[in-house]
Amino acid sequence: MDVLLFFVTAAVALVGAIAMLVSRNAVHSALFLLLNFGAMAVLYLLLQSPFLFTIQLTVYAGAIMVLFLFVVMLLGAEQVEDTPDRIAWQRPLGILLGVGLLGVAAAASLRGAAGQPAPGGEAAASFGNPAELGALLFTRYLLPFEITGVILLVAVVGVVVLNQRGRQQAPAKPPAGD
Amino acid sequence: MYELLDALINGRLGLGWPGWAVALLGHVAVATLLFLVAPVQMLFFTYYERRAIARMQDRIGPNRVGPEGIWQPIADGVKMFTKEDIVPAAADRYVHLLAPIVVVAPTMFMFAVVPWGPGMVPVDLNVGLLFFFAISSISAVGLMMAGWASNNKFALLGAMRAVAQMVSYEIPAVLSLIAIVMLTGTLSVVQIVAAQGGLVISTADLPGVPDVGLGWFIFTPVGLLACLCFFIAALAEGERTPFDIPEADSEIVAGYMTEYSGMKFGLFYLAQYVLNFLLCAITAVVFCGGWQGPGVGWLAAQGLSPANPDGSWVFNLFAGMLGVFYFLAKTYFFFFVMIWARGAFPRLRVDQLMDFGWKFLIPLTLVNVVSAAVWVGITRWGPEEGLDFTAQWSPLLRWGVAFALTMAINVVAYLTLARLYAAAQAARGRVDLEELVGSVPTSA
Repeated sequence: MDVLLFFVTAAVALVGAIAMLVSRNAVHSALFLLLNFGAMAVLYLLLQSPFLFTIQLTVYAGAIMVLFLFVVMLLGAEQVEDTPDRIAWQRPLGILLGVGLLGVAAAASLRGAAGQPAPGGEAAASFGNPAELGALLFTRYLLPFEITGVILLVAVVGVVVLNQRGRQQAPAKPPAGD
Repeated sequence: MYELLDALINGRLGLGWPGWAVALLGHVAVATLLFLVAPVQMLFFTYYERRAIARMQDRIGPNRVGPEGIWQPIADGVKMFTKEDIVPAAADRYVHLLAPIVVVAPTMFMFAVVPWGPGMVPVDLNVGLLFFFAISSISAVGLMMAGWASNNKFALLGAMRAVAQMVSYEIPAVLSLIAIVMLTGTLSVVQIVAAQGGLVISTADLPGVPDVGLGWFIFTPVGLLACLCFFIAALAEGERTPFDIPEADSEIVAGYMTEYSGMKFGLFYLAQYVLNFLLCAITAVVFCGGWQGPGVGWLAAQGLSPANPDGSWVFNLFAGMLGVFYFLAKTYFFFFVMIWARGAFPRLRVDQLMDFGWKFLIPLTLVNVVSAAVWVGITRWGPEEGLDFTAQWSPLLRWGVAFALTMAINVVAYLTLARLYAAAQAARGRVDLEELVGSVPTSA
């Protein structure tokens, strides 16, 4: 039963990913990506981890996809323009890097199969338990966690700064009181 | 459900089914039941809302189909089914078709973690509360699909408004739930309900309080503020007046639903009312004890359970019925408050909506998280966490100190924020007025 569910979900994820690449319409691409994210979430559920399932849904399907769709729809950039690539070496380099990433992923999964624990394997014993995951994040992996937080904070500050600069350049508006 | 079916199929009938087949049958049965219950709730809610709002406006409301118009929703449903299904020529056919499905499906998923009575929950996830909000964020994608695929500027505007509103108000909603999660130390909806036994004071805070199922979080300062903030955010999530900006019919026709007709429109309607039901249900479950109430705990304790093998199943039945009654009564009460708000308040402007969410509700809920931390520190922590001075206090004293302290924090925070917010709004109104006056050409 588990194996059957796994293959169905994996097939859906693959179809979503491939359709995202070949689709001509940006909104369709984004929706296929959402299908892929949903299938990934179900895979986490098959790994007995409802916590990762919910996080995958909130962060990727909920937040990031909505942001994608918002930008695509606001800019009206749905249709792909059929212009030749302006940067000639972009495509070969992309293929090369893609093959490299595939190699790294294969090596990592083979190494995992050879019995060496991957980093963060302590959580695997209690994978589904949000309390244990939180305790690990706030004790053992505190530094990576805080670095991630600082990076996100920098992004937020950057957005505010960029937004403010755009506002000051607009000549018509008087400086607001608040 | 699984144990019951397993005992019936493999024990009583001796069919020897494998475990997964029994589990599949059980889940299919529960899911079918819920899919039947959800539309019935929606039908009842439309009737309930129309009658209640009519009373408030000194009208009678639907009263022709059946006694007191009780079959009116069914007549409306038949009308929906027989209407022509129109797809605009310039629309994106498939996305237009999929959008209502993507909106309805998540609301149905959310029923998976809602407890109806003692032991009556489809799935007891250890991250139930998180699951509820993770799933609800998917329907925002459906709204965007509907707005974009209709190829209509009103629909797109409505979708943009809906998504901006949902994203903004999810933050105060989740932050007010975090306060309760801190008090209970769990994300499981079932355990949150179980923690609300007692009499005004929860049994978790003061062992020995008589357990009549009235230790609701709404009776604590932290829970009260969280409940108010969550309910306001729920009004915005469910697109209820005064936050029905995404479908403000006087401005943008019907928002993202503009280009939908027949049963596709009906599906949006269904999704909205089912979502409202679920939001009211979660308010009742998290802050008002869900199925907890006088008598349920006692009845459930007399019933048949692994801890009490010689109980009678009659008690289980009555405990379940009383629990569902309390749960539905609370849910309908909160929906009545929603109707009441609709009858009492005009619609907000978009900028007022954003200001209220970001500048008032979010700071208030953040302060409430701090109060929740104070509450947990005083009532639960002891010498091993470094709080020596509370060790000699009696549980009642600890509860009293926590109550007074969190009450003081919340009241001061509310008053300060309310004054700041009112001042900022007044200043903003002045700036708007100056800009408006300044833009008029003076030479003319």
